[in-house]
Amino acid sequence: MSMPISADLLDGVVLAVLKHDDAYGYNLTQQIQDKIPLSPSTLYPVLRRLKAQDWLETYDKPYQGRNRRYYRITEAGRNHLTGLLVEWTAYKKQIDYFLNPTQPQKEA
Amino acid sequence: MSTETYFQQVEKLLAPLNPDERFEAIEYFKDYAQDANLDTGDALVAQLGTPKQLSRQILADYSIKATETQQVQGTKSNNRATVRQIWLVILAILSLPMAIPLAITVFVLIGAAIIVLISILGSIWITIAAVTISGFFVGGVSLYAAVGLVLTNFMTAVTYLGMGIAGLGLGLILIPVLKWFTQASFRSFAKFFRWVYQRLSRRRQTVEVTNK
Repeated sequence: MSMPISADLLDGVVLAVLKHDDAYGYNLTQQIQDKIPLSPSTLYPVLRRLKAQDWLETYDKPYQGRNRRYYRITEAGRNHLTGLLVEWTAYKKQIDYFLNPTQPQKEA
Repeated sequence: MSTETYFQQVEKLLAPLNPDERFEAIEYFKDYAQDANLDTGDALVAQLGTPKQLSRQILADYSIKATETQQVQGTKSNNRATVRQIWLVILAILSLPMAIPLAITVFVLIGAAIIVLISILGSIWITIAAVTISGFFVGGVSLYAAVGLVLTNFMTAVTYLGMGIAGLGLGLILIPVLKWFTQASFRSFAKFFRWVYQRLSRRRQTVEVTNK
């Protein structure tokens, strides 16, 4: 599918994956690529931005004679994710109203 | 191409970034390459793209910030580059996702801001330029008059001589002021538009915060 994913949504996806467990760059990319087509270099700017916003933090862990950089969600990151989820749910409902009208609509 | 030359090329292409940012980006992708078992240059190109493609993707994210640092480094701020930046920022502002009423408002405000700024700065500029030019003109005419009168009416000639030198001096003093003022106006213009852009792009984040 060629629909672009917005930066906010990608932020949400990354934060949601990290909510379960810390991950390193490659591992994180794999987990998301499993469901969403994503080029391997997409996540770097996202992670950098999330870190700059203090929504996640990094730490290094030795692995096979080198340091691997892990990403961990912060408390602020969890709050941000909750906010994104609220917005996404509302947005999805608006679009579904038109694109998917056969589904029962809950009156707002 | 070996993995080493691949990353050396990426590093070279990331020259616009500061050393810390460059190091962090390279480390991330080196980490990635090792975890993904990309141990040849070809494997790297297949996954991450050519060094040029990868660096372009990394740099795209820095573009707005990069123009700022470029200015701090003060590359003899040439006005044409500043004007280009202003246009880039205006385009960036217009490409922000916005509701149509807001877009129209922003568009009109930008137009009004441009006109007001150009008028204010332009009139100041013309004033300084006029004083400079008339300084030179009065200076030149007075000196000419002084030369003509020096034999017939010495005292008047000396007066004209003084006026002439003063006029030329005034002009010479104002030239650098004019130059500085032109550059400063262009720069503050660019700064203003970056500020507008930052305010607008931050808007969406504040919306998220209030939704919580």
